[in-house]
Amino acid sequence: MNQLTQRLVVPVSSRLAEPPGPALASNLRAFRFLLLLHVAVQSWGYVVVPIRAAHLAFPPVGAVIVASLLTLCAFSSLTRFGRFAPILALPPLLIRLSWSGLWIPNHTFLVFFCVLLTAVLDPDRDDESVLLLQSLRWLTAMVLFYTGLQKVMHGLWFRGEFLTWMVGRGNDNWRWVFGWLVPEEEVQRLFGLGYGPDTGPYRVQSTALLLLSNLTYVAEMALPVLLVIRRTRVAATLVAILFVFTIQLAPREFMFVLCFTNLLILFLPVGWNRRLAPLIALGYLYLLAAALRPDWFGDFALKAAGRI
Amino acid sequence: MKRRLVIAFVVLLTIWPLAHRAMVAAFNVNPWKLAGWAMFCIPNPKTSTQTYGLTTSGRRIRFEMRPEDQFDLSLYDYRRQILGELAPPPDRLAEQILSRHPELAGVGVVVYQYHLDPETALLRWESEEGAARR
Repeated sequence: MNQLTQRLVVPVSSRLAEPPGPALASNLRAFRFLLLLHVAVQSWGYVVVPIRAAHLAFPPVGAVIVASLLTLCAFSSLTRFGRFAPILALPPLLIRLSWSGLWIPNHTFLVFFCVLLTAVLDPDRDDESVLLLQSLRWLTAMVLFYTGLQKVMHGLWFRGEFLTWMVGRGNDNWRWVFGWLVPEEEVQRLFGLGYGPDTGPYRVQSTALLLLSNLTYVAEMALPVLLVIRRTRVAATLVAILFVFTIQLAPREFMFVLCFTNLLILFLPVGWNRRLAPLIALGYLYLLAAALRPDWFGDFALKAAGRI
Repeated sequence: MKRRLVIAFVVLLTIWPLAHRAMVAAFNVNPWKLAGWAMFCIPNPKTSTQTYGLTTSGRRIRFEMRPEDQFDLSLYDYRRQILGELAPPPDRLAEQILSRHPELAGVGVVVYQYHLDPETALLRWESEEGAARR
């Protein structure tokens, strides 16, 4: 066990570290602010666009209180009391998670784990800031890797079945992003398939779709490795950000794009979370505004507004 | 101590998706949920839960659902869709509904779920039945 730790864990964890100091602390504080801004905006999303299912309904007043408290935590993280912001954010966040119950989206879990880490580890203490960076980087790489591995293990991406299903059965966004890869007669065939037993097959003759389908999980599993290797890290980070944005064009989970971009930027040389914080914060405000006034911002960002 | 706790937490998060995959295989747990990072791996497995009444002779009949029945049905469907076979058996839902309908001799529940077969790429339906009788 000890040998395994020495051979596997130590080289990886040392590659995920950066020298401690004021630059790292300030970058992690910016990361923490954006993380708390994410949970605040997400909570306002539940206020603006309430959940319809009776057994998932959030108490309206409670939702406003939780969103207000989390907003307060986000902005207090910029003050000299910032260390306490993620700690104070945990109770309202846990209450919100308890309202969601089993339905909690995976992205919300990821954000919660990150808030937990920033609550436990202080970016302004040298020993803890390095561990915080290592943990967050590992979590990011691990999640990206598993999204690819799970596709391999479930077996519906090798011959493009999942994408074919989404072109035929998904909403217009999926058809807009992937429909052009499928011949028109195949699209019409897919539309004609009902939900009856043994309908299908959800496979199409399209080399482009097949390539894209296979490239997706390969990229999801290769990018984390390239993120860990210092020499390829910057390029891998930029490709990963572009990749996550592109694949999210179909489900339109732009809240997640911003959150995951905040995590991926941690792989860039120290300081980029701080530099890009205003831009990412603007992105969150844009999505919140899109939830409030979809007539102003159009349908494009509506799905992304708030919740996920 | 804090360092060890954080490392244990991160290790746990790293192992969890493998356990999650095993739970999906063994209990039909929803891959899209419970932090297994398996969203978009398969079509989100929707369930449809339907009920029917039973006469003393065992004949299936329609009956009027009450709002409480609808709520229980919707809650059961939601739990079943996420927890798969880890959710309570459909008999439990049948018992709940039967307790509100003295005019019925029994209540039956059928849970339908589809999945895309990786071998054939055809849509397959599975169903599980439960019932409660007086």
